[in-house]
Amino acid sequence: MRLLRRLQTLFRLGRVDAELHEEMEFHRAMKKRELERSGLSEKDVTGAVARAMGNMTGAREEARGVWLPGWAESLFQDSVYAVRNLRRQPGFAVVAIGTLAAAIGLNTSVFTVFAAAALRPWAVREPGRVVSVYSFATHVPQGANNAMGFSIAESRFLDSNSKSCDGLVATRHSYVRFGSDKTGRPSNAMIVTGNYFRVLGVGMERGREFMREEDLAPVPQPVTILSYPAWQNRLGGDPEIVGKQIRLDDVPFTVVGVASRDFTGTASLRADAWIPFASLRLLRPLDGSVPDLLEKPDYCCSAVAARLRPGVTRAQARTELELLSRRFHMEHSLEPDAILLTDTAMVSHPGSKGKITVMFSLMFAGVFLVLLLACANVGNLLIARAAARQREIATRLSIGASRRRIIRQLLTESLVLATAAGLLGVGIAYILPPYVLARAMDQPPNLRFEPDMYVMAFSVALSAVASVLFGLAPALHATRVSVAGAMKEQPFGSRLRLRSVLLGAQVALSVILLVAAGLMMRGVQHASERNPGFEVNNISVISFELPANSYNPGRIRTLLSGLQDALGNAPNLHPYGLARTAPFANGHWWTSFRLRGEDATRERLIETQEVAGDYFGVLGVPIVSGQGFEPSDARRGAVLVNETMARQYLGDEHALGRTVILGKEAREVVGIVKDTYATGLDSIEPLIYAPVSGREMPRLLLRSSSAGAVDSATAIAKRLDPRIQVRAEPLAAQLERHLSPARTASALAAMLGLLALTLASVGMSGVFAYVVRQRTREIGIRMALGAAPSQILGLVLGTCSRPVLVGLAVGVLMSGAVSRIIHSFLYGLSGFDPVTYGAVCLVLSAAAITASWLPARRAMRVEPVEALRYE
Amino acid sequence: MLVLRILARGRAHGYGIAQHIKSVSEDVLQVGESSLYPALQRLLLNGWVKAEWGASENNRRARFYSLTPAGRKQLVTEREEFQRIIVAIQKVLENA
Repeated sequence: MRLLRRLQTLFRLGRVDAELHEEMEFHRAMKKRELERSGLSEKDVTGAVARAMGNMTGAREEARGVWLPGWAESLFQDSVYAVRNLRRQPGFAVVAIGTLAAAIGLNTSVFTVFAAAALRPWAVREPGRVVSVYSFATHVPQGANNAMGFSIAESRFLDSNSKSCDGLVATRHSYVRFGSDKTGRPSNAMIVTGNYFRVLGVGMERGREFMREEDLAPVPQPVTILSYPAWQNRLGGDPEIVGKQIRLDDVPFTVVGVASRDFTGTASLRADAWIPFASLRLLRPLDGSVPDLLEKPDYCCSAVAARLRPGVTRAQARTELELLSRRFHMEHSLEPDAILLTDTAMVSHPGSKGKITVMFSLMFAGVFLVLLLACANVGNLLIARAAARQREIATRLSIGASRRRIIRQLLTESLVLATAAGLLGVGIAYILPPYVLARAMDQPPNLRFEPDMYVMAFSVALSAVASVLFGLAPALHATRVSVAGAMKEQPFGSRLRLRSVLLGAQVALSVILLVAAGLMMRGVQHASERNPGFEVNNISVISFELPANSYNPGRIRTLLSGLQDALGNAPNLHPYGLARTAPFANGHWWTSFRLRGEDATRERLIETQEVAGDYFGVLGVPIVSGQGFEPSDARRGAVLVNETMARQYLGDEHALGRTVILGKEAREVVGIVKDTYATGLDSIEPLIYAPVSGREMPRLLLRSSSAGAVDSATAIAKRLDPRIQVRAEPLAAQLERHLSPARTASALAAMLGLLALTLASVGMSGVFAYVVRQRTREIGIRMALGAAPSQILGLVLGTCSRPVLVGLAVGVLMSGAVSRIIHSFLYGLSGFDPVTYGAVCLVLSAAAITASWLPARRAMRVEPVEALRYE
Repeated sequence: MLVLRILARGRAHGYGIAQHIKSVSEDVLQVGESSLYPALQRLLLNGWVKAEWGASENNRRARFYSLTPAGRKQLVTEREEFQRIIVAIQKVLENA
């Protein structure tokens, strides 16, 4: 109520003042009349009235201060004054605000992504009580990501026995195709336990949640819940959708609900539809792994989340779940696991935590450097402006303004600039991240970008910090004037020194950013030019998508042998190879591995590739010793290893003929294959080649030079089963995709670098112009005394180049340190790549020379007479 | 409190309030303008008085203040509180 009245009054503060004035005038008049009546002379009356009234202006200000404290009023006045000042110099305002807005926008953008990935929980009821649950194998294997999910059986056991949780849910990702859609990317389906929506507390836009009996094994129900976007985009937002049938992978499912608008699932990809686990039997009737998934106690790994009872801490819940898990594992004679609970933000996943932290720190560091640069630039502009305002400031100082008061006013101006830039920056942060991510990834991650409280607070804090960063030093400087000197317009040596320091810092910062960007770009280039150790350009990768509901591993094997027979009879398709994952694919398979004689605790995860046909022949990868696969090897259980594997684990030349335990099976090493970069261009990892198992359909690799090869392979597949979808693409495209995240990253880094370069150039030319302007008289005298233009040029360039050179040197040194941090993004390129450093120094020197060109020319053209008359 | 008490008798302008306090207290209490007007603004801010413009006794434009119901309640509370303290002080003075 008080606040409301206060606000009401604030809007008419001017009138309040006038009213007070009038009121007190009236008081004065009455007093005067009273005194006049008491018979004093006119002269005495005036004095007496003044004495009686006291300091009327002070009283009025105090009365007004009741409504608006003095500091707030002067802040308001200063802001108004600053805005007026800025409007008088629109050029300066645009440059300063634009520079800052770009920098703040970049920072806020990175923070928006960070907030979405790290701070924002799922869009569920009381998200603070929802936790992700992981199991940790305590015995095996070393390396790789050890945090795993649970079997469905175990998650159901935990759900029904836990007293510390209001429920546990399990989810699993699968691809489905909507309706008769045969082309394009399949949609993301999340297979969930029946209590998923109830336990998480997801609101429903339409219809209802799953019911308990819909996820009970004996009577599967074909029911599904759609996500809001899928409902809108795939089904046109049909208002009568609930109760209707849609086809998922050609199986009819009844839509029972649509999830609330902002709930896009709990996985790293956005969910389009949810299906109960039990309904998998209907969706994949022939898939032999479905019963195992639903029933086997050790069928890894479904993601599990839990809702804690109110008042239960994570530690308590963890202890209880671990005890329950032990019991479950004991009952089914499994090794015990440890349990870990985390919050549900995307980065909290124990497997991705380290990597994402590094990524974000680098991004924050990069954009923060840009912010510093921008601040240095605007700071420099402000110094130049303060030089122009010397007279104003000196005047105000001389008529009694305190230095603090003027600094406060100058800082208010900075704050106005920063606030405007901050507002623009939030706008940039609203647009930029979704745009960049949509371009950089082929599937948008499950992140919600909202300029929420966190983002706003960050942007406000950043603007405030920035305004102090760029405003304080100039403000301190501008007010450190000798009043008399300023009136006479004398130049200030120390101001130039501050500007030189700022300039050097700018150069150093942009060197760091440019070197980082350059190294990353060179790294990608290095990787794409690297000989991967096999043929890339002449290979087609053909993938087959089988109708999921009519193939099980047995049928896949039948199809495979049919395919291989047909391929064998087609001479134009020779040689051909089959592989579970194509080279450079982003999918990787690991198998636990140990030597015969080692016990299970020594197991480690080794990347595994399954091949058939003449895989090595097609790619031109030589077998160094031993032999390739024979058709009979599939039964005999032979494997090949790459050279690195042989060297690291199998004692090199003794590798041939050794027996290794893969998973639980003993295999014999029959050959050693030359190392290649097929699993990733950054490094060569130990790799085991096994014969194709037929658990899933492998990809076909063909030489694309033989005409019509892809067509005839497609025809062969269609002949075997017309429902098979065939997709062919060159291996080079796969390589491109493999490199595209790195390319995007380096493009972003290059963007930052370019921005830094621009800022530095602008900064340099500003300072150089200032130097020349300041020394015009000196130059004029020198020229009058007979100095040649080239000497003048040398003088100007000499003054200008020192901060640039110092900045370059410092920047190069600091870049050396930075390059160690980004080492892992460089694909084996040295962090001290001379080409990058050379190019950056060259570019910056060129920028410096360009920036000094105009001022230097002006200096050379100074007319001695005019220069002396200047002022 | 004094201002509230004066206004409880009816509306008055600033000068009137000052005069009243002076005359009722027989010149013991003199309210200076430097404290009267800020005090009136504070009362306005708290919503205990309201102000309106009107003609004064000599037909000049003057701002008249009058008590609001909230102001009346405040006066009662403040008076009770003040009474309590006065009584307490007197007790101490007489009995100590």
